Amino acid sequence: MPPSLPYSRLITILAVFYLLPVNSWSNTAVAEAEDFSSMSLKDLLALEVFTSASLLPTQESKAPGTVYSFSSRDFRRFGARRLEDLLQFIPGIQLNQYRKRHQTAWARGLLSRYNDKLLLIVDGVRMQHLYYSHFALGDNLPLENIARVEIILGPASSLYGANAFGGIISVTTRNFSDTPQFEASVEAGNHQRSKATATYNSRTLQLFGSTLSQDAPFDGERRSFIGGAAPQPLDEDYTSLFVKARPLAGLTLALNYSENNTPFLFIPDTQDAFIEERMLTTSASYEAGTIATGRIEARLFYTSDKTHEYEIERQSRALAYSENQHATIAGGTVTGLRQFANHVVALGSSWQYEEAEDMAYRRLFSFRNGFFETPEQGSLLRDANIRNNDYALFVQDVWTLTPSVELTLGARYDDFDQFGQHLNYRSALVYTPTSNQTWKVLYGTAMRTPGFREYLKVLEGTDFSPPTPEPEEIKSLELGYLYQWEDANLSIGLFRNKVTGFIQEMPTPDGIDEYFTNIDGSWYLRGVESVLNLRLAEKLNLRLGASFLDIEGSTSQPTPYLADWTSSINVDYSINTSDSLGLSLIYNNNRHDTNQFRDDQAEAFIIANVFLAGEFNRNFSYAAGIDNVFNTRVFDPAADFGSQHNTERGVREIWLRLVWSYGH
Amino acid sequence: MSAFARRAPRCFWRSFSHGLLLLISAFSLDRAAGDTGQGATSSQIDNIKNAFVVNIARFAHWPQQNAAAGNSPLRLCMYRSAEADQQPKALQQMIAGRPVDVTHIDRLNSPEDCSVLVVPGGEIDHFRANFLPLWRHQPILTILDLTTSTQGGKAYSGIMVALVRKGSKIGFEINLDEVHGAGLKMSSELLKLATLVKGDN
Repeated sequence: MPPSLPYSRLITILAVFYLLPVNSWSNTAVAEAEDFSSMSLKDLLALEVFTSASLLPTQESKAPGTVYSFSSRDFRRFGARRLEDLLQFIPGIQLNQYRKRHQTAWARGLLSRYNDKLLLIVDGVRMQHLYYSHFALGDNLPLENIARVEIILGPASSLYGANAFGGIISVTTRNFSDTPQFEASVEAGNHQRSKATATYNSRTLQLFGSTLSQDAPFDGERRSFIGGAAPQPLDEDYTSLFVKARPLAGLTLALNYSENNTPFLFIPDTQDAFIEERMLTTSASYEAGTIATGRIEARLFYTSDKTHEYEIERQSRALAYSENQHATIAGGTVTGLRQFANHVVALGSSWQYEEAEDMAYRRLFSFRNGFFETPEQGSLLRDANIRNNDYALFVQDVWTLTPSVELTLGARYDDFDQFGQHLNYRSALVYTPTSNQTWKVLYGTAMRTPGFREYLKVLEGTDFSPPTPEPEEIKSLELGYLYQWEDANLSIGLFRNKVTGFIQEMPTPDGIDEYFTNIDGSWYLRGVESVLNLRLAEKLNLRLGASFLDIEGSTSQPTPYLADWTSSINVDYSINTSDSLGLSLIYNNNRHDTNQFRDDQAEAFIIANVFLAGEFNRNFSYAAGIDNVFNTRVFDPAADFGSQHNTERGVREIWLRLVWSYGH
Repeated sequence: MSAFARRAPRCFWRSFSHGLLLLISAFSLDRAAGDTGQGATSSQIDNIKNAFVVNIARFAHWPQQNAAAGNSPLRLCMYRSAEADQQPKALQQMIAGRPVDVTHIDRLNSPEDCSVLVVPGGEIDHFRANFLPLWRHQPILTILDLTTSTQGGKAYSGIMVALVRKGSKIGFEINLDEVHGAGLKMSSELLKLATLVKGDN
């Protein structure tokens, strides 16, 4: 059994870090670990400095929201190979492994089995599987093709509409390069992991491809969601193809294709289950003008989502179940921006179309009754060919009241075919009394419309007729403070969210199936989030993140699946000018253990990762690491239906990546 | 039944006490930092912009009379900077073999000792009124900071270099007419990385 750090000791360590005499590091430390004066102009030009949280390029510390951003440089600094690895360092986000392959990001306590309470945007295009209103953040999104990831916590429906409920995750792929560039990488690791990527980049054309094959990083000792053995195979593969072209100034065309074949991880041993996903997104974006003289940004996109889930009965190896979740999503956005004296106004409209194409299922086997003489079949949805439109108008004004005070006001009106009209708004006051400190007060609303499965699910074996759930709503108040020293910075944020009409899966009255409904009343989530960056020595940098969450609801049932304390530590040591060594620790405190299993591991945990990165020469670089060094076991089986959530973490991963590049 | 509900009081108070510890610690840190007297140090964004200024100046060549200054300090003047009385670390560099002497100035009437003049975007009107009539075409590398005003893409009289926003990054624009008019030269390496602008306004 790997050693685990007692909770009290961790708190002591955190306290010691926080209470270190400032004089001991304030003259040597850094913010974000960069000595900018020693960087070349080329490197400075590549630095990500501003955020687009308000649609305008805004200095991150002054953005009207709680913004965390990671550049490709940070991917290396955090030893991250997947986007979900980065989310571990966001105070307020807890990751939970679902019984399928994906991890769910619970932002500020917003529990869900799918990533449906956040919005994922890739180059401005909403990415979503319609049936579950879901997206995955694992190996399906290769970081090698990503230049920047921006996570904005808090409601953002006033700009982004439905599903920007707990926040948004905005991914920006690489920009075009002025000179031709080539890059190739190979990665190998335990769990049979082998990955290869290739990139070509130029002034007008960008090509990226990747292929990955591995066993999901879990072992044979894992348990199904009912606690028994889970002996299913773990092999999986991911393929990505990305093409971006700029045929005319301001016009960008993109094609993004991904193909994933992944297993279910924690299901009972009667079946093997798999997911096959094929997603193709094409988009066209046009940008022209400047904000001073008038700027227009327009985008059109089309996504075809072909997802197939199926089960194989383990004894006979015969097909036991099959369902399609094929859907189309398309849309467009036009935004105009213009500066008028002390105001920068954005005015825009958007349209989104969604259509269920093929939602057929076929059940041939039940673990209770064995194979059926006559297979059951039908549609997953009550309206098998549902089509929806959402039309929206939005406006935002960034008003510079004084050089140190900026007020952002925004509102968005949505008209949904299914869910009527909704207005969401947001206001943010950002006060920067000196160049090294910023205060923020934010208040905003958001809503999430139910997904296909939540309002159209066909119930099996019951006559119960479920009500149609209404959109769930959130109102959020945030206070933020940032202090910037020469060599350190500290941010503290407090939030209070009120969630009304939360959508939850419930058993039907006869207990045969489950349906979705809004819970009565409201519940409140309050929390504190903090990040401290500092340079402990010239070559040694530390990032410490911590968050606390408190929930108050309208019923007396406990919330066993959320940790109320989470924290992360990242240490980065520059061995020399090209090589660095890193260590990260991810901590969650103990949660209530509600099941009857005695051999589970539901206590507090610390996951430790170590990693190394550097360059052999100008064209060859490397990265290597061990994730979950001590092979810390985290598993807490739950039925994983309705309001219950399984808790698992992957086992140790050892990996090495080599990168060849030319023209950088 | 809801998954979200009130926590047990004991758990809450333990968590609350730890949260309080965090807050007290953070405020202790804040207070201790204030005691160090570093109230007006550069922010990270300023450090990046200062690094741009130094790097750009390194690729500039002044005419002979200025270069003859030998190893004497190269004066970098920051007009109405928010960082008055500070010597930003990013600017404590050598340019053309000369140490940089950072001077904060509130008037543009007599900048003759400045080799580099950095002007905030919001001060462009003062710059036009007070600098241009007397000092245009003098060998002073003028750099305008437009990163806080979302402008860019056009030339400003008397301004040789403008720091501008390029999406989420910082870029810079060079007006070669102004550079050559003042007798300065820019390295071709610098020009490769810059956006060149022309204009008569």
